[in-house]
Amino acid sequence: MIRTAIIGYGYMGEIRRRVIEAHQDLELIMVCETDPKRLPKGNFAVTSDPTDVLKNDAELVFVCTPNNLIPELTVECLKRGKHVFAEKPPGRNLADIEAMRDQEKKSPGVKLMFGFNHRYHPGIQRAKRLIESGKFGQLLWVRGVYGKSGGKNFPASWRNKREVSGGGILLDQGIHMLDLFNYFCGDFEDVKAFVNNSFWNVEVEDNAFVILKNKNGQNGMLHSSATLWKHKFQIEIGLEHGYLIVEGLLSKTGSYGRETLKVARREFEDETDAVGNPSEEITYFDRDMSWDIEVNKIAECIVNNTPVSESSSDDAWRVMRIVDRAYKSGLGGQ
Amino acid sequence: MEFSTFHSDLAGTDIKPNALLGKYLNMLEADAKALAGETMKSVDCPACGSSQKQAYAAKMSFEFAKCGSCATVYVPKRPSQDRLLRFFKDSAARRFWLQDIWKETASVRHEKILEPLKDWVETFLAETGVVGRPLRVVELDAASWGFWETLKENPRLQMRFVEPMFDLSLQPSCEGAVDLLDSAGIYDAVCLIEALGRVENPLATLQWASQHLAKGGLCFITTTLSTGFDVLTLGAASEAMLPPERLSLLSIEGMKILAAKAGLEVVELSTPGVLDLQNVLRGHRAGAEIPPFAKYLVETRAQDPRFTYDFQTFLQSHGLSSQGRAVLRKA
Repeated sequence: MIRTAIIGYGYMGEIRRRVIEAHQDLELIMVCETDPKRLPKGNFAVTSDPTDVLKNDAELVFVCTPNNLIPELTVECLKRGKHVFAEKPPGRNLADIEAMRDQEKKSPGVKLMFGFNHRYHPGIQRAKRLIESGKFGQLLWVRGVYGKSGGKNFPASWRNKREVSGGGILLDQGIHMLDLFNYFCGDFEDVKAFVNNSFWNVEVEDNAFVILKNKNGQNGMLHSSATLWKHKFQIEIGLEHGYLIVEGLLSKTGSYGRETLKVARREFEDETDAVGNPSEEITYFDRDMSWDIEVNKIAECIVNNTPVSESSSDDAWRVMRIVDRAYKSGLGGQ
Repeated sequence: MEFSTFHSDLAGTDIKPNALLGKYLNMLEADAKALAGETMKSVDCPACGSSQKQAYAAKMSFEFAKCGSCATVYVPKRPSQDRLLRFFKDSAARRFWLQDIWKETASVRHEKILEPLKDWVETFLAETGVVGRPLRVVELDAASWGFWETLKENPRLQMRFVEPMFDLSLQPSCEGAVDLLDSAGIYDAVCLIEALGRVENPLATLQWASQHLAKGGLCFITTTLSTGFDVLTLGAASEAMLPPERLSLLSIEGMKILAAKAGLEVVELSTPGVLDLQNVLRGHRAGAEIPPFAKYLVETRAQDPRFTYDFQTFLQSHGLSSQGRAVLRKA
């Protein structure tokens, strides 16, 4: 069994605890939470001091803290030879992820993985398989919308304090979509963006429009928003012979709608009625195993001593590079 | 549990040309009449096992009943599996189906039915996570559709098949044939394409699949459902009620019960049929009595392709087409 600890017992910490306790190879030995009211009860030790986790014999640490704490805690764990699963975003900026990568290189054999769980949602996985089958030809472009409406407590959230979060909705939520763009297409080198604060009057952006291009000539476009009064997750993938749309997202609240994958094949030869309006086949999903899949991946890497190949620090760095360039483009270098 | 919609320009007459189908039905009626005179085996609902039933319809000298618990429609007095096997070996109607109708429609069946089925199976198999070796797949080909031959085109699959309706000794040249009772075979996938409605005991067949699946292995099922629009609308006039070719029309609820009884988890349960409206129109034209709403639909609205697409999509989206498919997983 891999002795496991959690630092940070908020929304994500609770999810990680459930998955860890259900995993055959993981044993939860300690939970650290600085807010004593949130400290959970269970068959494990609890502490409000993160150094207790660093000092104990946990082999794997889940870092589920606000963004500003992720780099330092991750680096300290890696220094002590502890494997780390850290939540996204991987720090507040490019320097943060680079610091974690530097320590990772100095700690050979230690695994570092980040929580880009959207990759493992059923609609995304099915889309990935269909693209890999080659039946739809080359991927031409991706376009995503990911947004939420905030809420009355939204302005007060730590996510909107620049010093803590490092950025706004793009870094908090849009980063998942950018990671999916990379997952489907590979690196995007050219990044242009408009980033603004149009409604919430907080320290960080509440809307970002990002356009991207890579060396393969593929384009991407993202609208990341905290002013979508109807929650929305949608990624469209244009291919030579058709298109795929993943819409809705299985979540605890269900507010993004039921997760679906629409598949349509190009119809414009010898057609009259169907031009530009092909029939779509829709798959409806109802089971989100993404949290379990990603935790299982790092457990497998530890058990088999294999490198982290998905949601790795390299993936994290590549997506943070896009965020960095989007902020530089959209905020004029602020 | 996930489910999918499906689109195809398949026409019912593409796979069942009117003239050939009429001849086949006449031949089957004669064969069925001779068989129905023999001693039959009494069975309870083949899905949920309930003994509560109501008389539903008489067809081809056989009586259909509807399960009072799960709405599966089935022949409660039916031939044993051995007798079915002999029947299909000797049936002139069966021979005509295979030698005339099947050959006549082979090309369109391959393109519009078997190829999409292959895509469906391959998509799920790609998610099994098995790497570094071929995937072992077996088909219980009770309907003699030969789906395994289409799957065989995929070099990643190591195909085997069983034809429970036929004596394997009649097919000595068929590479890949396995004995149904081969208890040593363990597979990554079992395909039951139009099989469950045809075998004497659907639960035993599904249990066979479960026993021969590796952990995490998948069972792919297509079958005609009693709870589909055309079957419910046409009743006894539905071409789906075709004894002894088809003895059980599982309800969508019955399908779930059957999976649970076999110890299999339902991953997908869909009704991706595209022929419900066409089948009702065909039945109506052949003189079947149908409700006024259905009559209006097929007489007035079914000529509009957008309407038929939207209507079929609605049926599919709500589990109301009679063509069912399922993916079951062995935990």
